[in-house]
Amino acid sequence: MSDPDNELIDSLRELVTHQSVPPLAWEEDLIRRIGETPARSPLARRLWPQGQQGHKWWRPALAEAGGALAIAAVVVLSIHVFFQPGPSSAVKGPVTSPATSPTTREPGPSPTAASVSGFQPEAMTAVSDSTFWVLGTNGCAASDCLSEVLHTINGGRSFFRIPAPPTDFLAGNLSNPGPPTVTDIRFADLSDGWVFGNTLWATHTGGSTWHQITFGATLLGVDQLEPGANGYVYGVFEICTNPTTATGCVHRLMRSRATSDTWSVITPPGNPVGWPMIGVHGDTVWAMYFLRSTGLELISHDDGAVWVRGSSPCEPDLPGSLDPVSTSVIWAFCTTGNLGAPYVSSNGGLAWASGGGIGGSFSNGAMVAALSTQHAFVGGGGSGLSVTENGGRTYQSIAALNGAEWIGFTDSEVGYVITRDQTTRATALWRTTDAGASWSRVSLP
Amino acid sequence: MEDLVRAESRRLYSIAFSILQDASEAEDAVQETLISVWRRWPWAAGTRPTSSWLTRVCVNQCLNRRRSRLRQMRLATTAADHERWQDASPTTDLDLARAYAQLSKQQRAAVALHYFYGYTLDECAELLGNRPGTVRSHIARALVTLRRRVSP
Repeated sequence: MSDPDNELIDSLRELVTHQSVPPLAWEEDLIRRIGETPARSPLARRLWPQGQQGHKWWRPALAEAGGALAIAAVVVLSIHVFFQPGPSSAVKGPVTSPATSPTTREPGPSPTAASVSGFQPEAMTAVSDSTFWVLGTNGCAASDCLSEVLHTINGGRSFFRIPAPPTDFLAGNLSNPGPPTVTDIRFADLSDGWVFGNTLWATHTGGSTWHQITFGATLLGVDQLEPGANGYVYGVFEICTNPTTATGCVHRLMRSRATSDTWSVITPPGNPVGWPMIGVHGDTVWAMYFLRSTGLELISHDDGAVWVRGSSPCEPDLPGSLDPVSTSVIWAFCTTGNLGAPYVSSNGGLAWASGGGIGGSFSNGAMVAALSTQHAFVGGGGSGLSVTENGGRTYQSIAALNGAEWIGFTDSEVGYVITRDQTTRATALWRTTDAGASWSRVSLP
Repeated sequence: MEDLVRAESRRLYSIAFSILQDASEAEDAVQETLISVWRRWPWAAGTRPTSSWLTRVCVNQCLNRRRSRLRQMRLATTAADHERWQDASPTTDLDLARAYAQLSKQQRAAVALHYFYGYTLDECAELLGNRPGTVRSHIARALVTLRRRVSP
């Protein structure tokens, strides 16, 4: 190796190894997680100190090596069946367009046959293709049900319940002003996460412990919470002088370090008022402000420090949502007086094109989850689920996921849908690993 | 097992990060390595996995992972590509860091194991499941790419 190469390698070694230090407390978290994993033999568990041998919330079947082998066999079989064309247990989507005819496969009972007595997924969040959390209820499907959080590190092949949040930690309807409720969940990394609704709870221990963030008892609700780059997390909060009577309320765009509970207000130029809806991708933040006749879209490419003005695709007084794919490609879903409509921008939100073409009729409660300027899924809110692969010119309905309430993607291939059966109200979580060409129901304990 | 985690996890994380160039992915790779060992190692025989065996499992985990291009709509990410190098202020360092991140995973693994962690070409070949000639070829191509991208 020549001298210039030596210099190059020396510089590179310094750069790379300088960065390769795990985060604080990661090791302890790792020890805890591995300790919670069933081992091959009972003897192995004794290698852990006392107090780390509790595995009761693992599925019993996973506690045996035979169970693991059986699951591996099922997975292999599933993959085999999953990608076999033709009839099987798969539920076929539309057949008129093979390119957009997702299949679905259920390992367990069908949604219509499902009992609402099991775990009912309501929301989910992921930090990688394999690691995600599901917020839901167990034993009931209405309000006033205790919430539960399931966690997987293997793409949903197995789950464990993370320690229970406080007992008054309820899942229910945000419009219920009574007990504290949560309806959504986010994790920024393996340690830092939040569940929120009309209360906000945070964990910095991977869910081992939760604490409530109260904003001095002025918090009425959390509309959005989105982790970004550089360790930041963004939230849209409704703060009131009197939250009990919901008086003196304003919406605030705020930011905190994911590792802390110190939230500070972000004030874009002109101090826009109204209700912001945000989209976050890396260090880029989009904020649409809605207030009667004043609609405004602002864009920041540096974690909210400097803002430029974009153009809002939505009506000024009718809110919408954003789904960024990259710093340049972003989709929006805008409500209208009647039906909602998707829009797409390929220049970072400076200009928008309508994405509501043939076959795209969506209720105001729908949302968009996009993979590119051309490929997007739109649905929810009673609209069913539809997909476009031509930028919204035409849509294909995915009949098998007609009860879709929420959809999101972790990357260009892996995504999730939460469906709710309109008869039983049972919910189900579905997963795709091929950009929505086929969907498989996630088996939840 | 706890002793093993304390003794090995940081070293494995460092190797995983060098290959994956993503903190979250590196954490996952090490976690999956250790859980795999925890589940499969014949602890009852009274033996413990060796460092070199752990390294091989970890490298395999890294090479077999598909990198996530994480999205933000309810799906969190921990780092944007550029933030990893926020401390590397000189332009040449940034160029070098970016050039390294743009190498293939096999090339990064070969360069990291050989130059950063001192494994011989034969040991690298063993860890990567390649022949020594293939490792040499990965390294040579990586150096050509790095030189080309950082040369003024």
